[in-house]
Amino acid sequence: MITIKYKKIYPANLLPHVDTLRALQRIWRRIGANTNYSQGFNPHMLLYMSPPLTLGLSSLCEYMTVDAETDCDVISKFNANAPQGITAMKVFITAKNPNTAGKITKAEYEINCHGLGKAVQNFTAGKSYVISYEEKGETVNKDVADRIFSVKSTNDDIVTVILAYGNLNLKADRLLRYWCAEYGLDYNSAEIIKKNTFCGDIPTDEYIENLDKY
Amino acid sequence: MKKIDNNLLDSVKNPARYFGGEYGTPNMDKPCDVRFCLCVPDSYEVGMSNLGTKILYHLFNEIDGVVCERCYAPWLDYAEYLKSNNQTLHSLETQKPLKEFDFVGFSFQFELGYTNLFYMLELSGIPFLSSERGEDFPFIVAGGPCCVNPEPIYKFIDIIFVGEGEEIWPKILTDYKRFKDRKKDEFLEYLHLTYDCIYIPKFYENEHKDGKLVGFGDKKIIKKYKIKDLDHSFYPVNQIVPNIEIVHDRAVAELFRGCYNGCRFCQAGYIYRPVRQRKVDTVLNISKGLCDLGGFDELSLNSLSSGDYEGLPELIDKLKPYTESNRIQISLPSLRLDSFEGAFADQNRRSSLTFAPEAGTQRLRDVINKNITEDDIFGSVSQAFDKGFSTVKFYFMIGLPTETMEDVQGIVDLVYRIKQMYYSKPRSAKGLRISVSVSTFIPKPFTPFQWEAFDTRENINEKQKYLYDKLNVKNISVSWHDYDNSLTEAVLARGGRELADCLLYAYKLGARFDAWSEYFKYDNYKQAFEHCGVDINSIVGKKDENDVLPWDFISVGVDKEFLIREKKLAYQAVTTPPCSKQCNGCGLKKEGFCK
Repeated sequence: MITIKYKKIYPANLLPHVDTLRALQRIWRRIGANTNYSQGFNPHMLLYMSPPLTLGLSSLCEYMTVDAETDCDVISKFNANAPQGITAMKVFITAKNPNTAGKITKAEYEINCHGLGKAVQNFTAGKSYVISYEEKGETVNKDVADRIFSVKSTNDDIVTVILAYGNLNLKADRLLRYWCAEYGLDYNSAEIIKKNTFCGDIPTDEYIENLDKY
Repeated sequence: MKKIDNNLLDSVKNPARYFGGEYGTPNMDKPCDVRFCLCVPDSYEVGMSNLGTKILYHLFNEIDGVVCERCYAPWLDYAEYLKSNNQTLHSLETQKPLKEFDFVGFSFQFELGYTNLFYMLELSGIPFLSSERGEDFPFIVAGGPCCVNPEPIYKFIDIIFVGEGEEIWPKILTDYKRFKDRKKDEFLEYLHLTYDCIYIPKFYENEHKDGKLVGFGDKKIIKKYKIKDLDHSFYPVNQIVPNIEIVHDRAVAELFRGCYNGCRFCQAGYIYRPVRQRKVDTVLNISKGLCDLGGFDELSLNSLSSGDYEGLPELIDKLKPYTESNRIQISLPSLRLDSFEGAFADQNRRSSLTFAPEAGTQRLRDVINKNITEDDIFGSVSQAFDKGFSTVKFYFMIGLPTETMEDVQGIVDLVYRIKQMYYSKPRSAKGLRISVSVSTFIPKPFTPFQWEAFDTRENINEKQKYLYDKLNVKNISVSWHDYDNSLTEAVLARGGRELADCLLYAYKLGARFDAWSEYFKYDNYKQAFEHCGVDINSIVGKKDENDVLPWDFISVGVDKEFLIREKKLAYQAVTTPPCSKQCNGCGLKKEGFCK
């Protein structure tokens, strides 16, 4: 198994999850590595992705795993064949599929929003915290205390948060939108970058590197 | 790290359509004197599927000093976003406003795309009328199959290119470097004097007598440009690969241009004449290059009638080892019923097959020179059933010249016999599904039927109702084209300069994305025709062979005498053999094309 950690920034961050999958499959086909496919009437490439990224968010920590073998320099080949905004950064060779889609449970985001650092400097994670948001035309109020693990202000504008990610999820843009409405901040010019993910409390890179242990 | 406005993400669906970044994008940072923006007046998904613009895009970017970018019609949500943020329409690659280019070129694939020209010009802040653009705006260029009758858009376009662009456009763009700092009219005059395939509408006038078009002055005839040696013509193998799913999301290798078959209803069959084939090894290299460099898992071998490609068996034999080892599916669109090979169909994963008998009786198929028999139809469908296909689709037309209700009943009979045939064979696990798609025939310019009338609403409604009543049974579904939609297309295909104001008026009433049935509103056009005093019945009505037609100042290389002869044969239900079997004297031999 070959797992590639890649960043997904503008303009690739405008690609929905399914189109990202197609783009990754095409990159891999262009590389020309020996790749395994599923069996049956309509075989498809055995390529697995980490959980979907919200459209428009930039990320420095996406993962794809492909059931393949190659002797080539994967990073340089991948990058030479990738569309603008998708860049491989690290490669892991493992005996089995790390199943990043199922194992990643937390993500760390850096949010840059004018005045947010000051507004949330006293936020305490773990306490009941009800946010409201629009979903399918309706306002939803939800306690997300179990989905916010950490909120740290770096300065008046920059905040680093660790949120639930994967099956139990809190979208960073949803939380930010709520905060902006709550504190009267400008959501439109704010920026979120997904910087790290974790499998439980273990950073995903470390988890994949030591897959045999887990 | 570049950031997108969060409001855009909230308000615009699928924003990847507007910001480029696809793999295979040429270098946009090279030194350049000429900037060209190639536009398709339809969505990204449709525009990116167009082979002609893809060829020109890559060709232009290979020319020293020329940078070519792309732009497609934005959906209404992005148009609204641009307007509300005081932004103008921009190219995909560098987000440069369209009005800052030297040339903005539109490829018109179908007439109902005309109103999107205004839509894109307005969003770009470029005046609609050629006469109002002055020196500060780019040249607005038009090309594509609609330009065999470009008169409905004559006053909005500065340069109209009639024909295939691969050989002439590089010359034009190189020429332009000398004219860049001179008056626009000097360049237009130069183009007019230098290239027979370039139509500069402002240099032409229509002459009328008693309200009828009688001539075009003493200006030269515009001759459609045709590449002689297709095998050596430019074809990009390192093509741009779309980031999002498009309509034809696959590698496309072009086998040949033109068509041997001379179906009398088919405009493409006449305007793309003569047949020019690529050699098998050329197509093979193109196919492998496209799949290797693009990463595609499907390869389409395209042409107007791929089964007629002389080297098809050899090509498939040579391609098979490569496609099988690389898990690439081959698709052959536009297979004729007499060239269908069931043996080939079985290696494809497709679950349905489409056939186009076009007419229900042999008499009418002979009138339209479809040159297929009932044996061809039943033989091919039988092979498909034997291979396990249980979903088949049939294309028919109604409103054809000489058509009677017997011919319409012929469609019903044919479909029922196909159904019977399916049930006479050992059963498949799946149930039979027959889809019957019935379109309304539009007599288009440069076909033997160009003088024919577009059928009336009453007749078409009666035929559609008859088919629905007879075919609304188990296993069969019928669909048809909306009459108003076809009528509008007929008017725009056959009309002349009188339609220019109508088009603009219809746009101002809200017409855009008219090729999309959910957006098309006939009322916009109806009001526009009435407001501008245009009698559409005279446009879509029967013409006399001696009438001067709005497109008579253009030659596609096929003689009018040949079209008249074909029309007469149609009325006798006499077929003309494909030109692969014998030369039928259409006129192209005079241009040195056919042996």
